[in-house]
Amino acid sequence: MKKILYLIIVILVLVLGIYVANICGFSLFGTLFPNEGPKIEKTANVVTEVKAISKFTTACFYEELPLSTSKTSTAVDNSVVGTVAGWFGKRPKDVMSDNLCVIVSGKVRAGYDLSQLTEDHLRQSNDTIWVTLPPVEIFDAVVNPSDVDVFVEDGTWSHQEMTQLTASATDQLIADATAAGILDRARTSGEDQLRALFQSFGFTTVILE
Amino acid sequence: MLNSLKHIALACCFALLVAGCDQVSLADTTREKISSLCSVGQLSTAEYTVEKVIKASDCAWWKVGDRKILFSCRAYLEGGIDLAKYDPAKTVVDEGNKAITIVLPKPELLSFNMPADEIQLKYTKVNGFRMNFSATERTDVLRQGEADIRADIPNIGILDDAETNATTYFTALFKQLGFKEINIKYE
Repeated sequence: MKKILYLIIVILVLVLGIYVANICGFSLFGTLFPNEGPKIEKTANVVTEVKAISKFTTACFYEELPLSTSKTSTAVDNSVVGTVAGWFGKRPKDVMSDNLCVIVSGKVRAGYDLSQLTEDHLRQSNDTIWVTLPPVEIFDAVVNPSDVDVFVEDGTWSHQEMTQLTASATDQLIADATAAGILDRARTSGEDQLRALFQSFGFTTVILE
Repeated sequence: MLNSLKHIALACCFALLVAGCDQVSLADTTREKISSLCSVGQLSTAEYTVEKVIKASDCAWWKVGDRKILFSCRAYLEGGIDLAKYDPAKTVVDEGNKAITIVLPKPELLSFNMPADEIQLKYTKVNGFRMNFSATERTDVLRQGEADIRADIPNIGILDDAETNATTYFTALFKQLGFKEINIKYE
């Protein structure tokens, strides 16, 4: 009788172990208990605004940016470890912290907004054309969900905390792109391309101002 | 013999301790960046704003209870002409008749931007027997939402609009340059 009871307990513990392992992300017996993450359901993609634009992107800056943040582990704050650490003059953060490290692959685009070009910006005489270009500008910094790779995730991180970290990447990307000289590159690249474009329209001399 | 074994065991323990201490901190990891700057020539002529509700659920026959998550997001799409693919040799200019025929590359999606600060978590429901959605799982759900919008691009009409707007833009430009007969083709 004791042996049977022992066997039942062992089987129960095994089943429970497999179940917990699967819930925690370890795919044991993959075909029987497939460990698939959440799957989205089909929903509509609604177009809410349509605009005619004339943005001429002439330079792109790509960067792979590791970002990290940490905070005091919420599980430790009021725990024995936290209290004991306090006795020795250490903040709980020094003892145990939640860490989040993401690798962001972002893109910054710069160029000319050609919608600012009006009749006054174009002058021509025989084979010569004068074009007054608008100033080059940084259009945007692009970081999509597919550009974000969570490298380390310890503890609990809310959507808001994750958004703050990812959104901070765009500021960093723009600062790095500016430091790398994206505006100068956009200007020289844009001038070269516009000169070639107007020359293909039959103008032998293209003067960009 | 026994002493030697003891020494080996002690050395192994010490090595394990030392290896355990040799951990690269997150701050060290985040110092390295890889970047590149390059020239492009993309003329965006149409911008679409797309809004989407991303809903996902995670349940299986062997899991006790389910999990559901719902986001709302906005994406900005730009379509236009990649002028790097433009072949000037295919442009024919007739000075006498003031006519021009230009062959432009087919419009394509030039930019897809789904900003993090325009993604809102609207609702989550997690059964007591299940763990909360992790940042990795939430990112994966958003990635699937992004892929769904990208897959729908041929159906939402941005490429047709980009072509129409490019034709309008170049027609106006050529008229301004004095051309009277304008022929714009795409291939």
